[in-house]
Amino acid sequence: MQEHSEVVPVLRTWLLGLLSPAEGEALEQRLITDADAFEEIALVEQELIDQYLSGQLSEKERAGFESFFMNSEDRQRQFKIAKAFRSYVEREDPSGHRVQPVRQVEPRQSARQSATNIQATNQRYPVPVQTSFLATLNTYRIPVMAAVVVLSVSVSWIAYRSIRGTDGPALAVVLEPATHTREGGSALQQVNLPPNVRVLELHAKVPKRGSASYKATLVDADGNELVSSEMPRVDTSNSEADVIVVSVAVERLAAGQYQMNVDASYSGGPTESAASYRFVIVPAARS
Amino acid sequence: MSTDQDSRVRQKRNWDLSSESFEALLQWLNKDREEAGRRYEEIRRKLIRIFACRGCAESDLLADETINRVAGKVEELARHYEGDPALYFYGVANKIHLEQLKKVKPPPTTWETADLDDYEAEFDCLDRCMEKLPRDSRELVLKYYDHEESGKIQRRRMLADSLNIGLNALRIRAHRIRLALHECIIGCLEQEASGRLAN
Repeated sequence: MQEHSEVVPVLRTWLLGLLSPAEGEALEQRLITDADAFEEIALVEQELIDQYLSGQLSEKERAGFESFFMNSEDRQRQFKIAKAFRSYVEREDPSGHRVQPVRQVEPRQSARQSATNIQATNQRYPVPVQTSFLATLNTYRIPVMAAVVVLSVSVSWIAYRSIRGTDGPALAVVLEPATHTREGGSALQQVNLPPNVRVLELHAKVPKRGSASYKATLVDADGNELVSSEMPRVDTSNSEADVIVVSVAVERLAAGQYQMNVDASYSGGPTESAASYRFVIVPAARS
Repeated sequence: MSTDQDSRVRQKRNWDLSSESFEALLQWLNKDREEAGRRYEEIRRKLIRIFACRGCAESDLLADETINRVAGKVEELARHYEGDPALYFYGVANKIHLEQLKKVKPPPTTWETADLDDYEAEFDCLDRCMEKLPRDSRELVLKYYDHEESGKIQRRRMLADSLNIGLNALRIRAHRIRLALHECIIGCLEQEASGRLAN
């Protein structure tokens, strides 16, 4: 296939159903006689799906994508595969730095396990490293109420031991929505990072929202965005809540406070904040 | 989605293209029979794609109908038509598409983002298919499609430089690996489905 960069913008417009009939006919005549230009179709289709998933399409393109491009079962199947691929790439390289793939305890079990499944797996395969847990944080509401709210937030710690010796394990942490007290205080969840863990998987539950799609961002205390995932993995198996899964390389996480935000949006509708989760990373003492 | 009726229509239309018509069509496409066969397949594949990209549900059926109509005129075409045969097919395809638009339109395929959120089976198959990839292909595709947006162009440029190829060649190479993965995943999903049926 030779370079056909000049045909790409027209192809995009055509695939989105936004080309005029005359321009469309001119393009199609070229496609049927020019093998190289024709081969570009599949490439541009894939790029459109990827760009849709990463929120890179303009509003007009997005509308064409949703109303025209996706009006085919083949494309919908391609879309699902693209989402799986995106999740896979994210899992393999969450930070942009190369890390070894995180193997699951059960090779055939889905990577999008629910928190419940992870716990069940952990019970079947006891993981010696990760028995630790949780923290409490006392939040003091200043003068008037003079109440001290101490909230314990239960956290499930689960870790996978790599099946293959060279791979670093991942630590899955189930986050709970930031708990606000009536007095305005909030409880922070504490995450202890064992020294051998290379990837932290954050599992964030949000109440089910029908056909919403989610965006997840992870920011540090200074507001720096560490992870921004337009299409995070979503476990929908729980009847009451969706579990949003975001992976981040541990080497990017210094000790300190972090916040994970999940926004929900509906097709063609507004985006709203679904939940936010604040937690503190505490590196474990090295033995 | 095909129905029994569709299937009967398809069989009838395929039957319409008799072996004599087909031979005459091949002869018109190229004197060399092997080359003519390749050309026929290429034109059919392109017609299907064009119909599909126009949003036609039964694109293969429409492509076959186009071919049948062209085959019906092939003796005349062989005598008088000048130019690329593919363009003649295209003209007939346009006519068939217009006829199709005048008929009652089937309801469009609907989709909801949420319907496509369950990609667990695809993910599992992808996991297996990635294992089958040669290591360098696996690394290339992971690097090329790195989800981090910041610095993406720069990273791709560096990747292309490290492979001593241009950016577009890298784009095509990564895409071909992705296509191979796609085919592998489709095969895997079908295998899983037939396994479930057998059980």
